[in-house]
Amino acid sequence: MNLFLLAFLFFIVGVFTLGGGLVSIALIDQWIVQTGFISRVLFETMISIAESTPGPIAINLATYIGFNEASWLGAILVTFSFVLPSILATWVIALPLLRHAHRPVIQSILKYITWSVGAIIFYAVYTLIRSSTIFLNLDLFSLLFSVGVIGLTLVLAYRFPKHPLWLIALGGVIGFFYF
Amino acid sequence: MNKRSLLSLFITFFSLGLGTFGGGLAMLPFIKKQTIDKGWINDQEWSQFLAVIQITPGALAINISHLIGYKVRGWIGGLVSVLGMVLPSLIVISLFALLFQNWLNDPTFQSIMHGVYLVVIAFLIKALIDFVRSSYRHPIAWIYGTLTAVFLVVGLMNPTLIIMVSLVLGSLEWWIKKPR
Repeated sequence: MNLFLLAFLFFIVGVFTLGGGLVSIALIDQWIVQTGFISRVLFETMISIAESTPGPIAINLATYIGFNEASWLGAILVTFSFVLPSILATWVIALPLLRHAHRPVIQSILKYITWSVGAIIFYAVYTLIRSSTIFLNLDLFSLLFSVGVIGLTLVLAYRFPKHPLWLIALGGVIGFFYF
Repeated sequence: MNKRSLLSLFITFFSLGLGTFGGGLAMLPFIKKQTIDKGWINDQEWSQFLAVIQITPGALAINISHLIGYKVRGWIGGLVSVLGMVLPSLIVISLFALLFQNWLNDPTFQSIMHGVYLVVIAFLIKALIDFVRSSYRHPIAWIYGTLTAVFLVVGLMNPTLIIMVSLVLGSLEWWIKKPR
């Protein structure tokens, strides 16, 4: 029974994921972590794994949480529950909109929406950082060290944009030796 | 193999889903290059698709694959592309969960993942910077973006409400500027 509730929750997350998968992280946090389906520590591990494996992060999270609940059946059911609203929305929102994309009114609306998506992504990243447990219980030095690692990775990510896997490996090595 | 066949759509999106890391925002440039190189869409269509998927619920990579697939082979092409994009995640993550389930409570594994999480946060910040740099070309964008971000952070608004407000403002701006 829990599996169907979980699939339903992911369907709802899919409906309200406006502005991409990053936004769904905040929604999953709200509806699936805070309701006690999975623990926050596990959720953070899942986010790390979802980002270190290929594919869209929201799909990876849905699959992981589904598999965690009910093996392969859970993975398939939860993933497609998340994807279903987006398939329907493409038919009823995106395709009709594209037919009118040349109209000035649609262009004006899309411009504002794209701007607000920037703010929404900011909010998603902010929420994720603020609710992370990894920054709790750290002494000042470890906190500064963590911020330093984030800053260094950011610089390296711009310097070597084609090699995200190496940076993930680097993070793993730092974690192994430091934390 | 026919370049516009359903199989070609499936294989292209499957390999994109399997070969790109860092979530949807990071995948978009790769999807763009592959599909434009194959002649499935042009630059202008890409920009239109990119704008429209922002107001379509769901993951960006899924929605843009759906639109490109639809453009190439109609609704069945769209579904095949979505399936191609979803399957690698489904398989890889399930295998991962199956093989590494016992590791989750292992302190060493948690330490490693702690380090990885920091890198992930950096990737997410990069995705945000890249998005803002490519779409905030106007000073008003910065004012609007900053204001809405503040409203979100202090809890005065939620993402759905902000999309609604953007709809209204966009229509209003068009109505005011409209030549009469």
